[in-house]
Amino acid sequence: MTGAALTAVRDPRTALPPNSKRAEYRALARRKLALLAGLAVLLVASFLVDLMTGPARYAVSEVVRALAAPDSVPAALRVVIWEIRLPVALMAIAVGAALAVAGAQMQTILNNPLASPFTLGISAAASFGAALALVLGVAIVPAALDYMVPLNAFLAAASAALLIHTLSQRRGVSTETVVLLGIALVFTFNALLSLLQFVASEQALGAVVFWTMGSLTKTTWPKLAVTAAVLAVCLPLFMCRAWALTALRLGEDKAASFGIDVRRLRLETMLLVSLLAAVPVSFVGTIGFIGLVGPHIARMLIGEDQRFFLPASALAGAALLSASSVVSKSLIPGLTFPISIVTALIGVPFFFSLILSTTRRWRSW
Amino acid sequence: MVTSMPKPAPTSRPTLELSGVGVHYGRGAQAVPALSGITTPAFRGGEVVAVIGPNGAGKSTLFRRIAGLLGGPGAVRVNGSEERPARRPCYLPQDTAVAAVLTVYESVLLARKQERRGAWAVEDADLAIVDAALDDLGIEDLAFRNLAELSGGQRQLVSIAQMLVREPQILLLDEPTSALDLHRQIEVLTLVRRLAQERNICVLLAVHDLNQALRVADRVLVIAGGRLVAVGAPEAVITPALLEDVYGVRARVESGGADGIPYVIVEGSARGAGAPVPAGVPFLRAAE
Repeated sequence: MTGAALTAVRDPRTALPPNSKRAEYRALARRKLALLAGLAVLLVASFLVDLMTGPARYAVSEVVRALAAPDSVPAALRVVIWEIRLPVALMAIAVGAALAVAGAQMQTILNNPLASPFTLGISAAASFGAALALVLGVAIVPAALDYMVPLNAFLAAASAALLIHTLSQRRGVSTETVVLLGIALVFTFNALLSLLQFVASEQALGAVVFWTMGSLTKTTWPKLAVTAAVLAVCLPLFMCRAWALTALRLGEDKAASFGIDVRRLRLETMLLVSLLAAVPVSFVGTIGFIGLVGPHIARMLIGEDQRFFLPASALAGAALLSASSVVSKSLIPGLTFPISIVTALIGVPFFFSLILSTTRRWRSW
Repeated sequence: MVTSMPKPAPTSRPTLELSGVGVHYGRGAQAVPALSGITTPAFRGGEVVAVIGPNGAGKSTLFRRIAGLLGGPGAVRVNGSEERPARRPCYLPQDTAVAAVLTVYESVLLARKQERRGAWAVEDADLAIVDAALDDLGIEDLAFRNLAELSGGQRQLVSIAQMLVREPQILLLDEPTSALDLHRQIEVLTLVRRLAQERNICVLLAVHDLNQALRVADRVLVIAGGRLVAVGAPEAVITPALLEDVYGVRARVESGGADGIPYVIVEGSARGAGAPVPAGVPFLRAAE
């Protein structure tokens, strides 16, 4: 079809002059949607490869058939996919998305590119809470043995997040100070963790070390359900505030002048972020980097209009962790590496190349 | 140009009236009044009111109080009512650097959508208003530049565009021209003046340059040390005596340049030779 023909079928009421800024904006929005779709495709691909990879390798067709019609495939394949690999593969996606969204919103409300669950001490607090249970058998609140470690980790992480928030609400505390406080928390909890490791039995020490490395392999359907539920609650709440959160990045004064209750928005966001950061960490251990890099990738690709930025962060984080899960299983056949080692090792070079190759346009931090 | 923007539905002339307005920082016995007892006649739509006073006089505090960002004693009456108006006064804070990865167009659209508590969907009507605002300010070329790349002056123009798309009834501009060159200052102030009249907006404008105040304002409100010093017609308020009181400068006010507008010539400090020049007098010219 020629260009003239295209113009001819256009509805004259919506037709725009070709050089109008309006048309250019619509094109920009379409480009962002296309990028989101691209990220989603990457994620699905990584998810399928994740299901294919393991001690037994399956073809895409087998995996898809096992997912679509479980009764039509051999029992062995069905069990491996549904009971073993699917919860882990989905957990990688849920945890990656949760950590990246948590990081994105921490960076937004603290107006600092260094903010993430890892750098603000929330992950370190979770490790300490988990170690309390693993080494001393201390439960912060009584719980079934199975859930003692995650519950401890969650309570410690949530307290750290709330402490950060409470301090940040004090008059005269700048967002830079908050980040410094977070770094102080990292050191504090790391020292406390070392102390516990020092007194731990050899067996407990092994458990603590393994936990702090982060691993998806102990995923169960209930743990996955809790993580997914947290994500399902928090993401829509953030999306409802998309314009307000974007406005926050224009500066506190200007956001307030737009009629936004900045204090309240910060408080609500911080509470949701605590949940988003603490729940996954309590189930899978500390996984660094995703919460920092996921949002940065999203920002570089798509900018900070939160209507696009939030889903992009979630997709980028999910795809990163899913890809890390594949790599953690493929490095040495039969052996699954702790995933946080992989996230850093494949994430860092990728991140560097992205930072160095993008134009100044998307690098304003 | 301006006519390309859809006119707001004709409403009754907005008014803004302050009675005994104050702001206290701190609490209890240590409360420090930053502003007290500001009472003004009613300002009306179509009117530009210049707010002048030395640095730290409380100009920004007054604006934040009127915009509802600060609480305090006294009453801010918009359209005769003390209740929070449906369309709150639009306050343009002083310019600050922005690191957000957003294009100019997106940031102006954002202001529009946030004002309307808008859904995600962007209507063509919203975009038409954004287009018109960028066009009015002559920054349509910047539309798809990133905010972080802009110069201070360009940022100020973008900020003004963000205010315009909110279709304000009452507009509080805090030093909107501080980063603009002389030509752009005049351009922007002339535009503000014209928009006030065409769209029936009541504009309060904090400026340092007294000649700008004389040129653009229908009335001048002078504050110093958090108190109201004077309010009235520019020629009546800006007098040598007032300038000496408020700024501590010796100055002449010449009645009428080429275009008949009076202008101020600052001749020096009134606090003795060698005394530091008080901050806040931009066009200081030594007497020869």
